[in-house]
Amino acid sequence: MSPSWLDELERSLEERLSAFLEANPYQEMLLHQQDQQDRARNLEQQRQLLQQQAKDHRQQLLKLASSVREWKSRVTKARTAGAIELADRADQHISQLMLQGRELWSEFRALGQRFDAVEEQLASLHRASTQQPTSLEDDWAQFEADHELERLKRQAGE
Amino acid sequence: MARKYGDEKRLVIKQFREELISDLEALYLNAFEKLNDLEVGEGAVTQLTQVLLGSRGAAISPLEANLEGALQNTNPDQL
Repeated sequence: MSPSWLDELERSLEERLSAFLEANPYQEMLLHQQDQQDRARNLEQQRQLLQQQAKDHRQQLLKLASSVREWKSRVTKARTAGAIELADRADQHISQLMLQGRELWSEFRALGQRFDAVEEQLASLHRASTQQPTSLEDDWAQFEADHELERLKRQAGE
Repeated sequence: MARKYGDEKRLVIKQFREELISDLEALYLNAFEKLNDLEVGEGAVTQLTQVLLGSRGAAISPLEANLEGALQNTNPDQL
C-alpha cells in the first residue's frame, strides 16, 4: 500500500523537526528536558494512583480479616451450642471469605510490584538528569543562547 | 495406624496440603490485622506489608504449585 498524503506529511514534518534540532542543539536539549519532565510527571501520577489503590486494598483486606474473625467466633459459639448445621454453613462462608482474601492478597502483591517498578523508573530518571554529563556541544549551545539573549536585552535597552 | 496407599494416600496428602494452606492464610491475615494496629506510621506499615506479602507468597506458593505438580508426576506409593 502506498503511503497516504497524511503519512507523507508526517514524515516530512519529522524530517524538518530533526533537521531543525540538529541545527539547534540548545533547542534539542530543551526538548529533551521537557520530555524528561513529562515522563517524571507521568510516573509521579502513576505512583500516587498506585499508592491510593494499595491503601484501598489494605482497607478491604482489613475489613475481610475482621469479618473472618467474627465468623470464626460465631462458628465456635454455634458448635458449643450444638447447632452443627449452622456452624457448617458459617464455616462455608468463612471459606468464601478466605477465597476473596486470596484474590485481594494477589492483587495487593501485584500492586506492590508495579509500585516498585514505577519507583525504579523514577529513580533512574532522576539519576539520568543529575548525573548526565553535559557535552561540549550542549555547553557551547547554552553559551551561545545566553550570549544571544544578552545581546537582545542590550539591544532592547538601547 | 495402617500405612495408606494409592488414592487414599493421595487424598490424605491433598487434605494435609489444603489444611496447611488454610492455616497459613489465616495466620497471615491475622498478622496483617495486627500489623495495622501497631500504630508505627504509614511508611513502616507499608514496608512491613511488603515484607509480609513476600513472606506469605513464599510460604504458600510452593504448597499451591510445586507440591501439586510433584504429586501429579509421582507414583504416590513411591512417596
